Amino acid sequence: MLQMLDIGKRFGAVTALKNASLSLMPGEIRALLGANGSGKSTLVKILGGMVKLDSGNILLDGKPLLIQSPRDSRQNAIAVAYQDLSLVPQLSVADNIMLGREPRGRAGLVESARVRQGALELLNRLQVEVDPDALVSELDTATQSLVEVAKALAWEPRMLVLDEVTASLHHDQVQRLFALLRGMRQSGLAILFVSHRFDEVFSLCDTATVLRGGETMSAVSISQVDYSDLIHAMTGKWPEKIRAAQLESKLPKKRDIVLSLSNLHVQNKVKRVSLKVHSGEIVGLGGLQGQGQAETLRAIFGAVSFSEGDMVFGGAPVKFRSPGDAVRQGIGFISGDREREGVLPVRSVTENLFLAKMALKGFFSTINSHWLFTGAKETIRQLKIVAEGPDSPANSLSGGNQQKLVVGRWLMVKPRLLLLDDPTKGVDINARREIHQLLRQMAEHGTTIIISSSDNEELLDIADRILVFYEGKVVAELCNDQKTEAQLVSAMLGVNRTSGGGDD
Amino acid sequence: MSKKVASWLVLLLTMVAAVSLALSVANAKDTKKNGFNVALLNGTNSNAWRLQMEQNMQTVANKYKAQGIIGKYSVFVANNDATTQAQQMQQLINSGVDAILINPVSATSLSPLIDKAVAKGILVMGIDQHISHPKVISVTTDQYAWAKIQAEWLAKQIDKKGNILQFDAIAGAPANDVRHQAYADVLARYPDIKVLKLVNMDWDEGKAKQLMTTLLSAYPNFDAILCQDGAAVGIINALQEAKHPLPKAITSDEWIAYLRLWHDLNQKNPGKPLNAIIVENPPGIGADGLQIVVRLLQGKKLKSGVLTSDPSDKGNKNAILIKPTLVITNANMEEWYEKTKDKPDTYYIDSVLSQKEIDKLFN
Amino acid sequence: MRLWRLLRSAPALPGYLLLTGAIIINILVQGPDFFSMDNFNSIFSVNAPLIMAAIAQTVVVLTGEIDLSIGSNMTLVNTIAILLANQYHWPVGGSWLTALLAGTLVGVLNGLIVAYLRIPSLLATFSTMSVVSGLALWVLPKPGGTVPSEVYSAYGGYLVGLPTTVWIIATVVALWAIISKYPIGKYIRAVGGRERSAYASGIRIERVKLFAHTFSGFVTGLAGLCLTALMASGDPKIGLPFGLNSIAAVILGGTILSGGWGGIGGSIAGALFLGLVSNIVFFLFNNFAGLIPGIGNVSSFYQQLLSNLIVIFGLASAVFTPRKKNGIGLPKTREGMTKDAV
Repeated sequence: MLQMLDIGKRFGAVTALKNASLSLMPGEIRALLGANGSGKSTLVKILGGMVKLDSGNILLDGKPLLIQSPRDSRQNAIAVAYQDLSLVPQLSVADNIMLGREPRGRAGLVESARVRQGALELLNRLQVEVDPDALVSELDTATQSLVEVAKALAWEPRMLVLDEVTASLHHDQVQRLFALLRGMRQSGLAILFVSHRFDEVFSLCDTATVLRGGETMSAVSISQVDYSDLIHAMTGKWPEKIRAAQLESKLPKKRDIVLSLSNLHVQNKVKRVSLKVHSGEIVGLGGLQGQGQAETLRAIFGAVSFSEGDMVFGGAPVKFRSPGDAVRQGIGFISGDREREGVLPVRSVTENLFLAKMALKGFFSTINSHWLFTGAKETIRQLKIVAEGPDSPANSLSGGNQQKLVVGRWLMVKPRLLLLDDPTKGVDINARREIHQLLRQMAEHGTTIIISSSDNEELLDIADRILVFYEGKVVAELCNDQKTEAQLVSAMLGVNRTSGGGDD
Repeated sequence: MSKKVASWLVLLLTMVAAVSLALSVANAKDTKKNGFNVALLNGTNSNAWRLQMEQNMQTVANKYKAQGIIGKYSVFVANNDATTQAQQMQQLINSGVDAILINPVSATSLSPLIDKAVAKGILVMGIDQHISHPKVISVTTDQYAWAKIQAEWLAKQIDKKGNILQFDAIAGAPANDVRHQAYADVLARYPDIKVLKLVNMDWDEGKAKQLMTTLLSAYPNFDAILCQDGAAVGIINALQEAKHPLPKAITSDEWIAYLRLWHDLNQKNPGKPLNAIIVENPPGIGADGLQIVVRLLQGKKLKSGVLTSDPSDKGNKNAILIKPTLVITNANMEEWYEKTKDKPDTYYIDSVLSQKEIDKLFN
Repeated sequence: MRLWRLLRSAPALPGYLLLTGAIIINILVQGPDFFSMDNFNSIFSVNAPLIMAAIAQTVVVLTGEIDLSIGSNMTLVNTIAILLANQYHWPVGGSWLTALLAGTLVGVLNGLIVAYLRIPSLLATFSTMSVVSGLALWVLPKPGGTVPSEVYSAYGGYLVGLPTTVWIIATVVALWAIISKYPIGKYIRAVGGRERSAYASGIRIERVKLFAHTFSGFVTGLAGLCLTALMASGDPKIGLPFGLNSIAAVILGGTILSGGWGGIGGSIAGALFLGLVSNIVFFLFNNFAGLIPGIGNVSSFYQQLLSNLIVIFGLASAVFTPRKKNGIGLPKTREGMTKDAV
């Protein structure tokens, strides 16, 4: 039905796509895979009309199709749900879902009852329970992603492109979405599914197209390949077994307590959380989304104030009034929400790298620009950040590289305690592995790390100890042999609580 | 819950109503004093000239208050916003005053409100700027006379012949146009005086200085400079910086800084004093207006011939043009320098007509 | 407390609260006279130009742009209406319609520059501001001209028991309410809320911006005509304060300058607030300054100080009203729930 042939696209000096090809049949669910910077997003944007292609052809039902704008794309029954969303935060859920295709009645007026009804139907199909009159800005990211999907479906597309929409969804939300997509496939919908989660790809997709360096490397049937085949196609290397390098046994028994919280309480979000963290330890915070992990991290960092409880950091009781206080005490923070809390998009790579280090100095301390430049170059090399140069703006980098930039920022100041909130959301497997390696290096050098993640695999992989949150409380503490996926999932769902940090 | 809110609201409103009633009763007593209720609407008080005008008027008003002639005198400023002034005028009409003096934000606006005021028997007077309305007398400085005195003086200083530079202010501004006409009328009588170049300096010392610097290269050989106010200090600064000799004669700037600059120049070069003139363009005009208003309120009648037509409003005989009386040249410069020694740098050379001089306007 | 929740989520809340506060203080300083119909009439007739200008500004600000040229556009409308009627003796209706058309055209021009040449509106409207005010000065170099007394008496009078200006404002509000019911009403907010999202949804950004600027130009034209009827004469500098005052009214009304959030209701409240501030200061000094000895000699200073302080207080409280939007910290105020989530 849809064919993209030899697509090429350049952004200035950077070639995003060359000879990328893709085909999609009615009723087919195809995975689009690739490492960071492989051109996945660009290809999706070309389909959505956000970016114009430089060369190549798109054929729809055998006829050439010219996509100049999102309008062209939508009019040809192609709908895209974007990773970074195409929602307007200030409009209601219903208005967003029907935006651009409002049902109109007499004299061309919008019939708001039908807008609401249409939106409600779509939300029900996706089994999202959300007030259609609520503003999108009031929703959490998982719900926003589902609204984005509902919005794409509102166009009654023949082709649905899902660009990493599952990145922030819970496991059960993903399952329900997949059930719906499988059902829609029966009625002839073609789906292009972009994701970093291999288990999702293997459970949902029929076929896969793998991009590397802007070129199509392979187009395969999922049933005929396994994880390592795909990783090989994406990276050109066969994956090693990295899990063997776990450090658990090497950890010394007696260590200082760096941070201890007792009975921490944040309005409505965190209830009587106590925990102790030792130096050089990597502690994972697990649980379903929105169970208080994010707020606990922000309370430690001083971005949110806690109403009750005590915090002892480095042996002294503290209560930070602002993130600045926390940074001066040697605490770093990395958010998974890069756009909002991480990267300064239009500033250069160098400035982004040195942000934390400069914040430690006074407003008027001198800055040696040459030293900055070489320092930045060194860090870029060390972290394998793919950028045109230290001067290019941060938003010219791909998502994974932006996140490495944020990690590199804290690597430079060597904090005593580093807090990470879902740091690898939407980051590809390779970059994620590199970030994990960096974190382990920092831990070996004595930095204590607390990391929350929506990805169980990541937690099991990196954390020495996992604290599981449920409804604002720590309900389980998993270490050593308890650290299994089965234990983690059951604790996340609130069943089978092991003894742990929670005192109920 | 909402019942509670409603009862709170009712309580609040009752309190507001009660307090306002009490205050208005107290206020009503307060205004039942003897004497006239006069108000000034000043378009802005953000420049020194207007401020000096307000202060002069306040001094006169205080005297009348002490005599019991004025019961209440109030001043309202409008931040240069014509609608704010309209609103103030409207509220003054509603609250009942005897006379309103206006230095308008926009000289032609307010006619609907003036109609209303006149219909209610309120005396409305324009000061400093002419208001074009048949029922409104405007008291302004005679800008034609102001300019004529200077041009005549200048012609005399250069023996009725030579090259001069002319600095006007803003083409289209009423005062500027009147002065321009006066300059032109005087110069027409002296065919040997040639205007090398006419420029507009927007009543801006900085711009005047810049213009002078530019003019020096094209017209270095000028004898005198004919300028409106707000230019002379800038011009002399420009000449000094370029080490260019001072002109044989230069005209007015009523800013006290000019008098002081002039004094300093003469101190430094006792043999070659600056040949300058200052003709007052007095902020005192407002106080003159106030004195006239009080006499009109007292029922006195203006002599015939006092009312003339403003050059911008030839259809009406509704203007009292006050001729400037204070002129400073090298003859009396030192005397005035001493008199104004304690004034701030933003002071304008100024005078207010005496009671006697005002009385001359009336029968 | 459903009402309170409704108000709480209304973007115009700060505007309404400020206006309520201003009304209470005004009643306190003015006394029962406040409740007379003549008083309402004078408040509305004097402030109608600013209210209109604030509405015009709001529509542009909702798209995430700003219009600095509103003040000079009003001046242009004023000078054209006066020139045609006085100098060329056109009928008043014809000359005023022509002036309204000119105001609308300035809006169209702004729209074309901002939407199609993609010049940021701050820059684009700053240049049109200078061009248009130059044009106004060329049309009418010095203040002058009159408006027939029937026109300004009608403007300052009553129609079916209410001040004429209330009807004019109500008509514009109704017009905007109708436009809001069309898709364009949603698109204006969508473009201002997140331009990229609006574009990705197939909305033609350029047309939306052109429409917003055109509508704004039209309402600015009405504002200029109201100003002309109020002042009953022409003046090439008359509109000067309206550029910034309209922006202040918009901010006071709770509309966010980055776009997408707010409404004209708040802006009308904001404009009335600004009008009441000068009223309050007037009565405060007219009724009470005499009670404090010694204040008389310097009272005009305190007037400006006081009115500016009140406006700054209003702006600050409108800007700092906590909304928890797009901030860091705890952005989520509502749990995203899925059915049978654990």
